[in-house]
Amino acid sequence: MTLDMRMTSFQRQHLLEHLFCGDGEEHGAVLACGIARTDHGVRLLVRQTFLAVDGVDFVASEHAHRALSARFVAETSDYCQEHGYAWLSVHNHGPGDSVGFSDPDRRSHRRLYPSLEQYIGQPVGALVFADRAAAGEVRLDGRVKPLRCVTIVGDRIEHMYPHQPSSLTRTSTCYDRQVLLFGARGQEILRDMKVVVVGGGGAGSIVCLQLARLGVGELVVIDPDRVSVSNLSRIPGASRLDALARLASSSWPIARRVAARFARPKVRVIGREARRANPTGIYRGIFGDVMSSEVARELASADFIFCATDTMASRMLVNVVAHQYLVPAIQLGTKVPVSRDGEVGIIHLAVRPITVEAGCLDCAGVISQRLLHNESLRPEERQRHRYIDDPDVPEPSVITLNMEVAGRAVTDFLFMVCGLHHRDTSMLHEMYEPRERELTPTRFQADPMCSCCSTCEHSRFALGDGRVLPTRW
Amino acid sequence: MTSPEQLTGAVAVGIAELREEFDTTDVVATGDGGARVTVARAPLPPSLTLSHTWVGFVIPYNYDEVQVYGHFVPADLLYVDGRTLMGPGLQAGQTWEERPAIKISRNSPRWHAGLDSAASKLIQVLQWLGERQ
Repeated sequence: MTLDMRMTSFQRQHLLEHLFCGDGEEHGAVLACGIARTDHGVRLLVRQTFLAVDGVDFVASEHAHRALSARFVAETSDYCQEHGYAWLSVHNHGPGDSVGFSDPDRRSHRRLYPSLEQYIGQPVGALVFADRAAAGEVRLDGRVKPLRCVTIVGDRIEHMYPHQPSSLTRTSTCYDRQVLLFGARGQEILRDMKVVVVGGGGAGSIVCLQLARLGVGELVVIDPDRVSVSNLSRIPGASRLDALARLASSSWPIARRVAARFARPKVRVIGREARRANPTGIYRGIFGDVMSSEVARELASADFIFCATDTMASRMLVNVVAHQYLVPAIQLGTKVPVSRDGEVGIIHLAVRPITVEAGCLDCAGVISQRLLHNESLRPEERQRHRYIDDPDVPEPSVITLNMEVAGRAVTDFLFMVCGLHHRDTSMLHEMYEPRERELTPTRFQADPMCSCCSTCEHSRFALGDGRVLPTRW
Repeated sequence: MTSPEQLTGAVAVGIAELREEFDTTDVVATGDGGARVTVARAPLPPSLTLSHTWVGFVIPYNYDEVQVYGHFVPADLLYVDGRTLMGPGLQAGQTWEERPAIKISRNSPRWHAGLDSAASKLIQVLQWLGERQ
């Protein structure tokens, strides 16, 4: 059971500018954190930062060099108790890539935190920062646990540890060529990640195989569909036997129904290929709907999510999880409009990173409330609402377009987690129009009242388990 | 009779707000956490012949991230000048709980979860109905 913390790159910058303001002194703050408990462990998600004013909130102490004032502790702990947040004090030591608590720090934790935990009813603890390192201790369910790392979620995904982790001296020879780009440490980062891919269709299946080949340690794929004959042109590794093609193409309706009912689930086909690509990785295929509450829980413990579906509801859910649990994500898809008379319109391949820095799908205007409502109705309700004037005609889907968009999305993921983008590279949403060979970045304003990415009171931002996900029962 | 356990927390809150705002509200769970709701006596603007009417709509399971869209009112509702409810956003020939109905389609493209609600949307829809020419 691990204990981690997540904060946005904006929050880290805000905090470190306060702690390392250039005077060489210690400074203090308090973090109010949402909490996410999963099978993998506990994550503390920074919701709000309270900076302690020197000489007022952060004062000389008889037990330590300086400490948070009693009034500041009382005010911030009241706030956390009222909202159900974990409470963590923060101070800094000198700059460097290694940091730890001093003996006076630990004595003060032992004195203060048991009663504070009892009062707040949530985890209570402390962090100490160097400019490139962070260490923490948290009282959780009455026991003190060390914080494994602080993950910074932004255009880059970074980790702050108490000490720089020593890298593997050797990686598997099958990774020799890619390690030349991102190093053994990059390979380790990929090995330690849990990546969830929502949607195992044309684009999602290719994303999965690329992630498996890269050496991602734990890959989870969620899809409710079985392989059909029409999928064989674009799901790598899918066979006619998987689709029960002979039955599916029979003129006998019962045979076609049997094929539709017993063809292999897409997640199993992807699993077979992923295990071939990475025999040491963990693969889990979930043959189900991400909109069910049990399946959606998988997203909360992910380190990264790909959304490769064509439904508004799953797009909305991934956007919610990305902000509520601070899990970086990328939404990807192709749009190939064809008119009734067969004329091909403007083709769009979209890659949309979802982080607080990159932006939220809702603010970007790519979540249609009207379609979302229509999709959310049960079939009989849809019938009653007469949403039948737009029949379910499949759009074109071509493996080359799927590979293009999947490759762009996985490259963005790889560069985000391995720190390969240039420092000033922004993770803007991108639209690629293959007929014009034109790549267009999309800019949009974040909505200050957004219920996902803003920090206003009604927002889900960093609440973790503190807000129920919008899923079906 | 629908018990609160059949509804998601957000849907239950949305219905409680509706009950605070309007006289009587019948609720039938849809089985996935959402509800079919009929407000029995919703006040109508003075431009319509009746002072109150029933209004039916579905609150989806993923409310309040998702808007309430599609409100059903009686098919025989008229404006005081004798006009029937026709035009963009209005769809005749519908039914709600087996009653002849007109469907009102008012989209909220910038729906804000936590700020917008089933009750506020219903008020906006009724207001729009009264103000349209």
